[in-house]
Amino acid sequence: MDNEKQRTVALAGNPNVGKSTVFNALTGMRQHTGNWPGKTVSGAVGTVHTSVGDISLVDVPGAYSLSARSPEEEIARDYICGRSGIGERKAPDAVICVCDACCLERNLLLTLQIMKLHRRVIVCVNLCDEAEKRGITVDFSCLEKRLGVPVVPCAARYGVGLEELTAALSKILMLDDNALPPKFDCADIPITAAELSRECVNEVGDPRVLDRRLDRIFAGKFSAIPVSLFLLAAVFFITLRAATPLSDALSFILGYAEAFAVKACDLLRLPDIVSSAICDGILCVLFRVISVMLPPMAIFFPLFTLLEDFGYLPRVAYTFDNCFCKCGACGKQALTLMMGFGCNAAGVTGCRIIDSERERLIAIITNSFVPCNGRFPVISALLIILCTNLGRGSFFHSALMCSLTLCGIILSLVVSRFLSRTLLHGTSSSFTLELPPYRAPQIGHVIIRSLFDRTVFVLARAAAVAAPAGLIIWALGNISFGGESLLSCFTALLDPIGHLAGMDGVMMCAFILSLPASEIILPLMIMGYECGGTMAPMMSTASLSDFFISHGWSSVTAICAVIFTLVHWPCSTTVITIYKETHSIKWTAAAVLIPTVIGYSICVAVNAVSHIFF
Amino acid sequence: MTDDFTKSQSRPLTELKLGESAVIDGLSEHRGAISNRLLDIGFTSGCTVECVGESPLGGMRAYLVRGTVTALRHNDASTILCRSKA
Repeated sequence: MDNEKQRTVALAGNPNVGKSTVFNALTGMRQHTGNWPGKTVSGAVGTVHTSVGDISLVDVPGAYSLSARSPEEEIARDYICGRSGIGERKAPDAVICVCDACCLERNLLLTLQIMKLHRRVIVCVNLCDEAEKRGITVDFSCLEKRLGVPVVPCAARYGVGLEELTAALSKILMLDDNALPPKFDCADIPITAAELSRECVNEVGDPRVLDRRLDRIFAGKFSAIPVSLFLLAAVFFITLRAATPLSDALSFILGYAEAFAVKACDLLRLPDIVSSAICDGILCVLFRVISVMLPPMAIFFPLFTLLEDFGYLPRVAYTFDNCFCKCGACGKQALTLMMGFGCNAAGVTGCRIIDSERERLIAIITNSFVPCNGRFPVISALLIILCTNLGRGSFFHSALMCSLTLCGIILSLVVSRFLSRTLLHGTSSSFTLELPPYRAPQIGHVIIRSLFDRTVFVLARAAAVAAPAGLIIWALGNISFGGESLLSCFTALLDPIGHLAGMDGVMMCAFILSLPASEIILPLMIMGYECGGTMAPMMSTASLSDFFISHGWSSVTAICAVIFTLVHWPCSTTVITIYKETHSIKWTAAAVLIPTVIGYSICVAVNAVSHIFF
Repeated sequence: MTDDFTKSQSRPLTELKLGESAVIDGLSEHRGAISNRLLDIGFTSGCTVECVGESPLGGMRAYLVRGTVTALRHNDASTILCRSKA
């Protein structure tokens, strides 16, 4: 491999013009894409095979200009212009400027800036299919003539124009320096952009007519809030309703797998202690994590991705901005909170879209108040126990789930307000929020991508954590110390702390041991109660509640468990991400302590009130 | 005529009615980062702007500039001056 000769090409453009889609199409990679600005936060690198050899392509985070006024723009400028000094970066051999055909004029502002600095530039006009539907036609030959660089029309989602783009790339890289056109020169970029757009773009009718209609529903004065609540409820209702039978079916199948593993261990004549560690420890927790987590994730992620691709998420930020403004936070925090539904660590990373340092910290610290996909099934299962206890049906269950999520969001707002009055003093600063055009999501594509990329990724992470955690808790339960297992010593120690908050030592122990992944809280509780004894069989959600009730759970126990699952320390992946994002032990500690203290206090209060009244 | 007089007057973007179009005159004051961002995304003088919506909870309005819709808080939008189309 001759790294010296490997050429680099930067893929630049405004946020949300489909750079990542072009990148994926050219490199065959699977960067996650979505219809909202700021989706790509760090530059991915991939390889493109062209007739002039392999080229490494850098997916530069979206930027509106090269003036480097925000961290992403600074990164973008470094990628495009190169940087000397510390962290030196060579300027790329060429730049592909991705533009959105639907709003070419604004995209040209950045393109012209890049063309002033770089001689090897290709303009890729993406989303031509979209523009055509909206009655926008672009005269590409006119644009090419005026700009003096190759202009390639593209519809990257459907793979249209990519061959031409690769060909243009090879051609421009082959050109001798002397043969290159001079750098583009114009006095006033905004005026030139407007001129170019007037000459080369033709609009028939109002291209935004559909967006206007949809915005009347999704961002309208009276409909926006009911619609957002309805969508939230619908997503949860579908997830929960469809997940329960799937979960039961999975635990039925995995129950057989477990029995098979026990037989296999017998056949292999493994020592008792080893086979017990494998079957009662590792497999027990692992299978329960899979059966509890996989179904809700496999349903939730595609649903969420559909809304994301449709372009709905920025509308939520737009609708609820005033709430965030009053709490001294940035409206974009609504976006990061929604990402937190998927995974809090992803939500924390997503906070990079917030420019103000203070508001970014607030968003990071309060992100774990929304239940992520790991805690979601746990809360759902706990609520089923509660509902069975109270003799209520599935509708009640979904309603509880929704109101609990709303409580999480409200709590996140309250804490944001508290932080901006105390530790992170200040008022809400300025920001601009782009409302992208609605796009019809590619349903099949969305389902496959979100299943394979997100679900499998999160599940693999949980499984990787569940196996050793199962082993640890098995060891704790089986290593005796003066007649008592370590686990019972440990739970006895935690018992008073648990009782004060309406729970018990086993539950507290499960919460602590589930630090690596909240998904394993329930399996750990089951193992804790079974403590070194015989294995509890794989249980359906209904028999799960009988099991817990037989271990002394009341409705109050279930309520406290739900509250503490919703509001306690974030999982270790999130904590590490918070540290990486803030580079501060102080703020990381705050992000851990604040939810822990709040969650525990609420549980103590609920417990105390229940003792007074019942 | 008073009507002509008001037409030629510069006024902040926040005074645009919903659905009304105007031509941007420039920024009334330079507030650092946000003003730069506004210029970057195309709120430059001579450009046509249309107010296309208001956030249901208030505080923000959506403006169409150069083919893109951007939502701005009133505080920021008030620094942009515009005048009615001639």
